[in-house]
Amino acid sequence: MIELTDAVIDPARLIAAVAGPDCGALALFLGTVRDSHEGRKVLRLSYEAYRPMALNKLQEIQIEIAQQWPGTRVALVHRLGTLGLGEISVGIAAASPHRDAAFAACRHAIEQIKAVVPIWKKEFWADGTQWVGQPESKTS
Amino acid sequence: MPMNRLRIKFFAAVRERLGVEEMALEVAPGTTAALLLERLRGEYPQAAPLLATVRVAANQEFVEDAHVLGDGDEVAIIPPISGG
Repeated sequence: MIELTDAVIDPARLIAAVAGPDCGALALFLGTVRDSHEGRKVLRLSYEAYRPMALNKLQEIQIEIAQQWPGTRVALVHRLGTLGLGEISVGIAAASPHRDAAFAACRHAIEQIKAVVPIWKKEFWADGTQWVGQPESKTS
Repeated sequence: MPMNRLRIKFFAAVRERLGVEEMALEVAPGTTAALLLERLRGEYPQAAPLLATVRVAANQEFVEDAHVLGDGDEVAIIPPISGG
């Protein structure tokens, strides 16, 4: 399961997509919207993606994981659009015969998403905005 | 000499600063990713500081500075990624 979605992420769907009788471990990672970043109070976030490339990159991560941890399946879902505090922005489920691989695959997936998948987040503060990682874009 | 036509896509801060999501651009054959960025920084000085930190993707794959862009390529200007 690979998805970019404007809808609320349901962890149960992620779990169902990877669970199976061949697996003895299932690791779930959810990234959620935090109310602060570098000392500023965050009100909400907005995510955008270069959709076709982001989907390709998510698929590459899925294939990498299947090769590196045989028998491991992952579901990768990223939310787009405007998100309020506490909402799930990214969801990863990794199911594997054993827990070491499930944890490792889950960790690998989130680190790769943050490194190579073209998705961007914009922070909204009480007194301005900024695209994260682009201090030059700050408005206030 | 016939020019190569590129479709350029912009995202996040660069998209907002330029006020466009996409543009068509004609470039000389042999134009590299680095040369394209140099031209964009020159033509859009308001976005030059943002364009200093971007990567280039051609046809949905990241490319190096020296990569030569081809006629009909979809070129994406990729600001620092911040998903998750």
